[in-house]
Amino acid sequence: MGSWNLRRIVAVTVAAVAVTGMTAACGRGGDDTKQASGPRIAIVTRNFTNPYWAALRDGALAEGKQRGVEVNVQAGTSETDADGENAKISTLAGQGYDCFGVVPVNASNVITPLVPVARKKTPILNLDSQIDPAASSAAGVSYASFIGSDNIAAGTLAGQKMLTALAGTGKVVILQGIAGEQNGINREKGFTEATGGKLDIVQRAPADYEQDKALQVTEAILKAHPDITGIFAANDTMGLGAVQAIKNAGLAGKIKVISVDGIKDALDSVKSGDLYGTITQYPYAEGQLAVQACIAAHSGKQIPQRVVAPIAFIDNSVVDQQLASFPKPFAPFDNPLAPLAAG
Amino acid sequence: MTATAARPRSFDLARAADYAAPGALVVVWIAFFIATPHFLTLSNIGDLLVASSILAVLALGQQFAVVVAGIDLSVGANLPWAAALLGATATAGVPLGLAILIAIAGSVVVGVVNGFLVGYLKMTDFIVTLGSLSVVSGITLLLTEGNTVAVSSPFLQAIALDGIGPVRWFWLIALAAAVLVWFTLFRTRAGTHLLAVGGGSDAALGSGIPVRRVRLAAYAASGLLCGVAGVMLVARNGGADPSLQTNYLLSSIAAVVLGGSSLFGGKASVVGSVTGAVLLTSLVNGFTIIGISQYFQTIAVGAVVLLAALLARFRK
Repeated sequence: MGSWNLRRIVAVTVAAVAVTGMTAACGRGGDDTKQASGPRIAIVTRNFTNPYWAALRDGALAEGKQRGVEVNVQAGTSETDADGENAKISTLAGQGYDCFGVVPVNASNVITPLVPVARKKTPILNLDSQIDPAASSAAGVSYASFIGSDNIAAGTLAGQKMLTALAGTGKVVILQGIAGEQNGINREKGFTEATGGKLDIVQRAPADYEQDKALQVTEAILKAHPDITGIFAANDTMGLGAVQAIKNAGLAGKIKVISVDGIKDALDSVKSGDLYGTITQYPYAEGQLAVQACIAAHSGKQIPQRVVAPIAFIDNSVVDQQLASFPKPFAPFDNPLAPLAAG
Repeated sequence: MTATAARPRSFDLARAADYAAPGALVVVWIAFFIATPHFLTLSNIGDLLVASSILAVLALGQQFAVVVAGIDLSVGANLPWAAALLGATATAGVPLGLAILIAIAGSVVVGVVNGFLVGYLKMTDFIVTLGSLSVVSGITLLLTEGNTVAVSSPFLQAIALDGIGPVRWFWLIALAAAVLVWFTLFRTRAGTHLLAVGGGSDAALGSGIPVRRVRLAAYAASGLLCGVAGVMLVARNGGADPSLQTNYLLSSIAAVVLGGSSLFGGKASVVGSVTGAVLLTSLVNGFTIIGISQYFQTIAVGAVVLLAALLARFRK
């Protein structure tokens, strides 16, 4: 009996699957003809657990929906998951997308999987973090445009605001991101140059962009340097970790923390007076810009080599405005792509 | 057919369990075919098989540890270790061929150490390889200072992207590994010893099989294939990423179990392990094409593994 039942189940299942398969296959032909004439766009980033990349995804999807084009956003599983990200690129490369937007894990990881895309002459946008130009051209990969924030400018702005906050003098600490990651290096560089000769940077410690690690690192630093008055964190999650460590040590209000990114948690923290300020970048706008650039490139228009996404300093005075318009910028910005994509 | 009648229910379920991976593969492929016109195309299946190759080679290595009733958790660190060795030596100006050999040798060393501790010192396989997972990961991070080392070699790039006509190099590497492992397990005396040791070491010891040496060899073989996979990883990523590869570790064990090998040793299926690797990769590939959220992908992979474990309950 048992074996009969099993066989029957298998037979019925196979038949059902086959029938559905045929029906679906027929229905599908119709769908294809209905497809809009706009480009199919593939965007690949590092992960979606970091709210920053989730916002980029949401911006791209919203823009695609508004303009009626297909946008598929995929990602690896973590900030350092180079192989997972590459698997996504390789998969999408064979799917006939008309345009690719890629945020690399590091300067070189996405080049090899992008070679087949470049061979098909599909336009590729380099998003957010720079991909090594020399290694790319050696592999025959070139980019239609770089769309991202100017991270040196973000660091410089953070440095200027820190100088103002500390009245031009004091001891500060820098929390660094993942070793070798270019955006973090540029933010640190901008901050160091803006504060050079005025603020005393007593320590530079890596906390890998992680909140928990930043908490531990800051706790240790506060033991060694209890007299610091400022901390610059290369991203918001580390800034939030530092704020928590300062609270735990009973030093709230004595040490000002400025970080970079402008994620929701950081804005809330600014509003409640814990985080002094954040340099917000607009990954949501970056996602929108990527889709606009793809549409412009697809219709044969020349797009700028470099599109700088906006940044802004958010402290207590403007945090309500930013929270209200989150994740979009609260002030309009100069977008060279809008007229190109409109046509 | 008469045999079926004599042993009803358990026989059929056991047989179903043996074909779990190929069966699930067919179901998954049909499901994706229904969902999207972009899945079952020559170019996508080609890419899917390339993407499966690294995992297939790793799973074949894991197969050696599993066949002697062990497990190799160090794979998660041994893989980036081989990659980092290749990256460091190639950057230091060592000729590429030699750098590849050094990378593979480095992974074999890790396997031999594991095998010595498990085989000769009789330490628990789980703890030994968990320990070496951590130690090797640390050494890798020290070697690279936590940075990814770019390896832009036209040769490695060609291995990852090209092939003989439509036949990609990655397929051939995985196929060669599978044939060699199959031959070793089922056509050599070493293979007979491996299966015997996994089947029940006391009996194997009694029959004069050098159990300790066989266990050492099993972990060394796992290390060897891990090294090969590490080189493939560098070729595919254009660089050596030193971070721990937990996804590959878990998937390699899952692929072997999906394939029908018993975690209690003594039973191996080369075709099954390779099919398991292709199945796990198909899930990620198909979901990516459809554009399904990241979070569902890991749930689906986990569900498939749990189903395989359930089927294994019915296996003798």
